[in-house]
Amino acid sequence: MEPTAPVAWEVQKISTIFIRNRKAMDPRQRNADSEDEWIQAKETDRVTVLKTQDTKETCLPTVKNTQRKMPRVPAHLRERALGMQQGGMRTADVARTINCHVRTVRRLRQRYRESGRTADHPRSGRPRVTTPAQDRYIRISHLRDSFAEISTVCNVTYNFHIHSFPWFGMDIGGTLVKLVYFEPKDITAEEEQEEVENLKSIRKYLTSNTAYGKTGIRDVHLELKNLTMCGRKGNLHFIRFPTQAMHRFIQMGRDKNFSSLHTTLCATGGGAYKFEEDFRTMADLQLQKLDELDCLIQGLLYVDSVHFNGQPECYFFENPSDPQNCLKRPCCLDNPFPMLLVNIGSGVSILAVHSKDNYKRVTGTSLGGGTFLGLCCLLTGCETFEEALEMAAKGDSTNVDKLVRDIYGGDYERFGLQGSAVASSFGHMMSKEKRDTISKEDLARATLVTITNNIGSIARMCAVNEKIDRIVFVGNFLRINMVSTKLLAYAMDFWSKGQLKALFLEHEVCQKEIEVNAMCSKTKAVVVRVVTGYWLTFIP
Amino acid sequence: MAASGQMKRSSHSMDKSIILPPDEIFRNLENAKRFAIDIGGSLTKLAYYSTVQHKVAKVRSFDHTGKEAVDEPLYEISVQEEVTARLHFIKFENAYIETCLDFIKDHLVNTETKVIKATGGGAYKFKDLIEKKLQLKVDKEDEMSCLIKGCNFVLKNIPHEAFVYVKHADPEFRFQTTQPDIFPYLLVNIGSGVSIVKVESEDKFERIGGSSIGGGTFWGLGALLTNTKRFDELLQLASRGQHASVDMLVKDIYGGGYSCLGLTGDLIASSFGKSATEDREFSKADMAKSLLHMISNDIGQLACLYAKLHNLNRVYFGGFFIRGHPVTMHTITYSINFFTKGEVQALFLRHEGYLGAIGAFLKGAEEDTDPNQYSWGENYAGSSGLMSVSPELYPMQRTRSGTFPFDMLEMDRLDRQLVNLPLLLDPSSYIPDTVDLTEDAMAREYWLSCFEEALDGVVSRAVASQPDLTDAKERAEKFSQKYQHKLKTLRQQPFAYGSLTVRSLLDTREHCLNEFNFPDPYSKIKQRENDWALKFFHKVVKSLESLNWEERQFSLVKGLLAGNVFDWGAKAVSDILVTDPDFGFEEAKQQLQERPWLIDTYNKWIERLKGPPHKCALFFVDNSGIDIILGVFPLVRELLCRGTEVILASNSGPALNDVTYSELQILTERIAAMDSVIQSGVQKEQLILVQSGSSSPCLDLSRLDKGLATVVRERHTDLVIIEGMGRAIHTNFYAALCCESLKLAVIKNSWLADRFGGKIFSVVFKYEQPCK
Repeated sequence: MEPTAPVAWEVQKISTIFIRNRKAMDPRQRNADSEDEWIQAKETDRVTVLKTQDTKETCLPTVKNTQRKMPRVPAHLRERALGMQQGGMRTADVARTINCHVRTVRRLRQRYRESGRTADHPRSGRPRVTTPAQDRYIRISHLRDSFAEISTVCNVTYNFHIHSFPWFGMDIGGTLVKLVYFEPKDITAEEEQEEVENLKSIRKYLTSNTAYGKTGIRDVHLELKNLTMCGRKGNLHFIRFPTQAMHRFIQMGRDKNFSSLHTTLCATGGGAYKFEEDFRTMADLQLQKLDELDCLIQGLLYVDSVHFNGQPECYFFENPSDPQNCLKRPCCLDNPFPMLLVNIGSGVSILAVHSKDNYKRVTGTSLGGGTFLGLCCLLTGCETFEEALEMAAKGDSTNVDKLVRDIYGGDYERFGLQGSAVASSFGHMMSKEKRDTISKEDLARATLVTITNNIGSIARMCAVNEKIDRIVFVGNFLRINMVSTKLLAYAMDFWSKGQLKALFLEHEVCQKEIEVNAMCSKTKAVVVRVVTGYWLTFIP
Repeated sequence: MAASGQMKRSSHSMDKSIILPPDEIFRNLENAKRFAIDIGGSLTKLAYYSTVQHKVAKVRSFDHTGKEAVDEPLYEISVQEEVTARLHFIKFENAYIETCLDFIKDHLVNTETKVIKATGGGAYKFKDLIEKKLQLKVDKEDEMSCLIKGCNFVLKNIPHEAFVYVKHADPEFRFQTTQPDIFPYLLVNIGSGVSIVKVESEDKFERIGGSSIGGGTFWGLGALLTNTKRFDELLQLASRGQHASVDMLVKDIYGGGYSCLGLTGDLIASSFGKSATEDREFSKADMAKSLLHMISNDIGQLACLYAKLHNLNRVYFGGFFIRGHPVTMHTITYSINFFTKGEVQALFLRHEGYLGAIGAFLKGAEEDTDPNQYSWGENYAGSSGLMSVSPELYPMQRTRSGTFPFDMLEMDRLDRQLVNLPLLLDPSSYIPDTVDLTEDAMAREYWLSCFEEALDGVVSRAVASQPDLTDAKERAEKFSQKYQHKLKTLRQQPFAYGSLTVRSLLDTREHCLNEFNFPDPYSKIKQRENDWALKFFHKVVKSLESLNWEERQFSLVKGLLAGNVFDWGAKAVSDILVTDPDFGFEEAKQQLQERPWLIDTYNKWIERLKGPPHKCALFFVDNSGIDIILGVFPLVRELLCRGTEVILASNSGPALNDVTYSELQILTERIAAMDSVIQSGVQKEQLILVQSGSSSPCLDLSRLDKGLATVVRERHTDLVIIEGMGRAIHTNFYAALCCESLKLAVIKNSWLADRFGGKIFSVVFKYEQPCK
């Protein structure tokens, strides 16, 4: 375990680039690796320009140079190019319109056909090891002494190595922020001594409490104990708090001077984009953004591969239409592809996954967990997801929904509709008398049934359209939610007439039986990434 | 008749006794038979079949033997009673059902009727009431099959039935031309729940899916959330709200768009998502709007998925959730566009509310004669148009006005079955009308005023045509009022009867005239002009024969064009004809524009004539009098001489001074007696007379008499000549045929001439050959 090598390389790279920047008249010839270097390069450029006092001459070749090279086609134009192609325009015309080569358009189309996306293929190359702060430091030290040995610079900068706890991963969703924290348990006395004061306090704060502030909760039952991660042993904690409290969290990060810990927060979910700016300006923290769907799929595969307690992670329900005989059955996900992944968070995303890297978002619906909770809050005055679910478990939706038999007196034989099928969700609520007598529990139940039925119906249609027969439901909505999983299983069974089965993920830790954990699966993906990031710093 | 029915529904405050205007609603009840009723959640639709006695102008040749007297007119005109079949559909609110049933009972004379077909959710609720009041046996029919039957019926028989809704366009409705083959299509019926039905043929359909999230969910959940009781109020509430304050949008999660998945920031990520996380009060309007979006999007998404799965691109939406509500039409359209990226269009139906009633009626009617074997046409005079689109006006206006709110559709049985002209290049893309006045506001304004100004003339002409009937004046006054009212409606709602065109304005006028028993106001004029022109026939033919070939061809065309000037439909001409009785054939020739004409492909035509003769020419003729006798017949004669067979197609029924089939028969007989070429043509069946099946001054090549189509096909027609402003300019100007075509007309309207960049009496001579 010798961390010096890659770090040294990184440091060398940064200083070389810097040297090159200083010498180059036109840094734009070089394809800038990162935004940061780009800016740096520009700054250097300006300095040079000012020195020579000859703006015109330096500017002109720049223009020429940029013109010689075909510009990269920006993302919005790629989409448009594809649209024009699908709209029946000739390839040559498309190329002319977006000012690129015909081959580029052809390749774009090819790529879209293969991957369903227009973004570039993932580039090879290691993820960045150094933070911008460290980059800055390396540059400055180079300026101070341009003849310093790389290893010396490296040693000076050696602040960002593996030991730089805390290890965090975040999934900032629409409703909830899911945070995982790795608590190292094998801290040596030496480390203990070295540990910065506020890092210690963070660790103590997070591990000794189960609730933070008004809304933060640590899911103790989900805790993964004695996990080995990058050679360190420790516990993985799962903490969640509402996205609304995000600013308070960032504020806390600032107050506790997080940025001094030289850590990069790995984050995924929409909030990673939304709050990035806030993290930077308010707490001087950089977010390492990870694609949500990548994380989701990796997380799912990771959780499945771990096989907790030797039990398969996946399960389904037998006889979902018969509440008495409804049984949970494990199911092996050895060859998981292709599968339809239905991620039910605040909204719903439906992905067709053909392999680890080959997936596409088929469609989505806005009727998801957020709708359930939102409507329940409005209809019943409840406040939390747990409350809403508890009520839903007790209620009877047939008091709220109009069934086929309420309209036709029995089965609607002409179309093979059973009398017990829901004809109109909330249909009874059209009448005032019924509205006045309805219980909150029934309303909550009806909301849940409506949402799950709808998701089941759409998922089934997508599965048929995509010709995939395996449907896996994940997502925060299914957390501690046996009711929903059963309802979804029923909906799937109903819409597909028994043809398709709904698969769910189980996550059993600490002997307790816990249903579902897309939250885990997702956040774990972040952890996996965090780990990967560090892992790379160890092995050249 | 004052109805004393007790109104039990207290939620509607209305007069307990409503006097029904019998000449406006439930018309022709005396002969009514075969009732059908569709009782929905809030509206009742009643359908019945009835026969209408119409006065029809008939012409009959005098029994001439030997030489005819010079003073005697050519033929006699008599007005006869003719019975035509008509379907009546009436829609009114459920609250009036008792009043209406009483009214029907009092007016129903025909006692043959024993059964009433009923459908809809409310059918069983009102079963006893109907049986008690009408003493008819209620026979329940399946709702969905009625719906589909009705849908097929309107799609087949009403052009411009389906439309696309575009919210910010003016007007919001884009009517679709009916495809010759209406199947297969997807019908999404959004009632309390949603049913998605795939219709493959007349009898074959299948419910391929559905959803419980539908109108009932909107109403029920909306009522719970906003404490608003009525559906219409909920919709109004929704149209005022902002969904973004309740829904969690993509940008609320991502801070902006999520470009790598192609999700824009304004997309709804989670409906009602904010109500879970934000601790505040939400406005009722916002919640209603969010709910509307949630349901519309969901239905749109499902419809798209089903359309994709079954590979269908025609998706019609119906049900009380849609029923003309612009708000829901917009959200559904939006959602369909979003989910299919514009590949599938959301289509709505103009008579959507009647489908169930039409279907139930047809089911009953099928028991003795199948109405599907006839073609039917919408009667513009008796039908109310599409209601106003503004949500503020729609439900309230009707209740406030205090009159009995109802909506009607009447369909006339046409004597003949109508089909496409087999020579159309692409029947599915054929649009008869040249200008769509719904979209062209300037043209609309002009034509509406033009028809308004011409109304007085039409009224006086109508009165003059029936000098011996005392009530003519009164009826003409009524006609004037009715037509004026129609024009007023059309000015406000140009989309009321589908795409507004000059043709539909003319047709509406004909329908209204018929309504008040003015079957053929121009019959006398036509008779006089025919008489007069016949006298010159011989002379014209003689003078033509004296010319050499080239001169003769030109003279023939010029004669045809000059003849076409004599058009009582054009105000400019009728003014001249009234003031200057000596205005004749030669004067008309002088009025014509000199060559080069406005559209001039004469040289091409001459070149073609120098080639081999045509096999068979189909000739759509226009006016009677000089036009037909001195313009058309000489040309027909020339064609016959060349060895070309000629099919003369004339209107089945009267319209303006256009020559009708029966008149043309007599005229041909007369001319044949004078001219040997025509005579031998008739005898050898080289000259055939057919009727076009229409009674309009314009021409819709997709709705022609089946007999005509058969003859055209049998004779291998390779030339179509369309004459006159109504047939060749207002309609068919751009019609593409798969054979040669010649469209000629004189523009007798300065505004229209202006538009074409010419002057009044400019000539359009458009000879086209199909692209090879």
